[in-house]
Amino acid sequence: MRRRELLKRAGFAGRAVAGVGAAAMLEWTPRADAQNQSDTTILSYLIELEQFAVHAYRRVLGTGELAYGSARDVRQLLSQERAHIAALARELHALGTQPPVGPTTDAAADALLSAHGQSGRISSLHTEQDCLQVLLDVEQILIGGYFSSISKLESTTALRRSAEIMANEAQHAALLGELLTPDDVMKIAPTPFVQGAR
Amino acid sequence: MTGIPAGSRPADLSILKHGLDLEHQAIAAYTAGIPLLKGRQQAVAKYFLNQELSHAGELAGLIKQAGGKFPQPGSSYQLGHPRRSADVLRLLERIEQAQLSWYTTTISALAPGPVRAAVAAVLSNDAQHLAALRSLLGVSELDGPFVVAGR
Repeated sequence: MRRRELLKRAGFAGRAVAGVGAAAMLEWTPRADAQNQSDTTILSYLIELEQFAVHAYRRVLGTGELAYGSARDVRQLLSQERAHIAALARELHALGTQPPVGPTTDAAADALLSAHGQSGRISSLHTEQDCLQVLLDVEQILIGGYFSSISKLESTTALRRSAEIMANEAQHAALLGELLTPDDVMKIAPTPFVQGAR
Repeated sequence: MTGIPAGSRPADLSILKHGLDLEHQAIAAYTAGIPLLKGRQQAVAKYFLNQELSHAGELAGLIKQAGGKFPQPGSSYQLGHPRRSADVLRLLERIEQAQLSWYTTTISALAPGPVRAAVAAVLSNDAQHLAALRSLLGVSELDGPFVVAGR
């Protein structure tokens, strides 16, 4: 990724934070859809993304397709996503706003995956590979959400917390990449500039 | 290019310059440590070294664009005397943690939004390095739900 491209994306170049397609909006309308959003709008959006991730992790664990070691790791990641929601909700409460409710159906989650150009589908989990791939796709969307938000947030504490969470999501992606292809070093950290999915 | 005003605040430049210093230190540590590693450990370290080089180039470019003068790598760094592969991995873990500490504590002080995002992209990659190094050391990759300073 060249610096020009990196900065262009960080500056958004007119792109909305939440690039969700019309299909997803039928069931779930994200709140962050314009530039110059307030911190409350951005934090609400990030909580919705985290709720989307929790839905995906729960669905994957419910399939019973994961081997013992993978399931143990995925349970740990799920618990960390829940910790992210709690932390962001505290930030939002401090700004006087209640946390929103994110997508809780497979159709809404799949629409979000599709809108971000990801191949995995929550409604089509037949193998461990399917499960890990969809979680990796979910993590890429989360990372992209934080990457875009960090250039806009104004609150010092929300900014710092978002950076700490984004880095943790990047670690999740690394772990999932390693589970998917244990022998491929490049899957741990495919790029030196972690930006997630657009 | 957008978002990085020439003549940025001295505080922004100071943060980026120290970040670049830490990247230089990481490059020196990986370069010195790689010959002491073998197999997968060495392959991972070589791969991460390339990514640290990219980070250094990125930060140098940001500093230059903001009208600052970027620091050159030091002639030597105090890296101790690791002899075994585990010593090297622990050294690299400390170096990565130092970078993460710096970036997480200073990112909110950076004024230009696009620069914050660029630093977050670097910080997140360093967090991946830390997780992988911990795995190579045989401990849990994830040290908690937040990648925070000073762990």
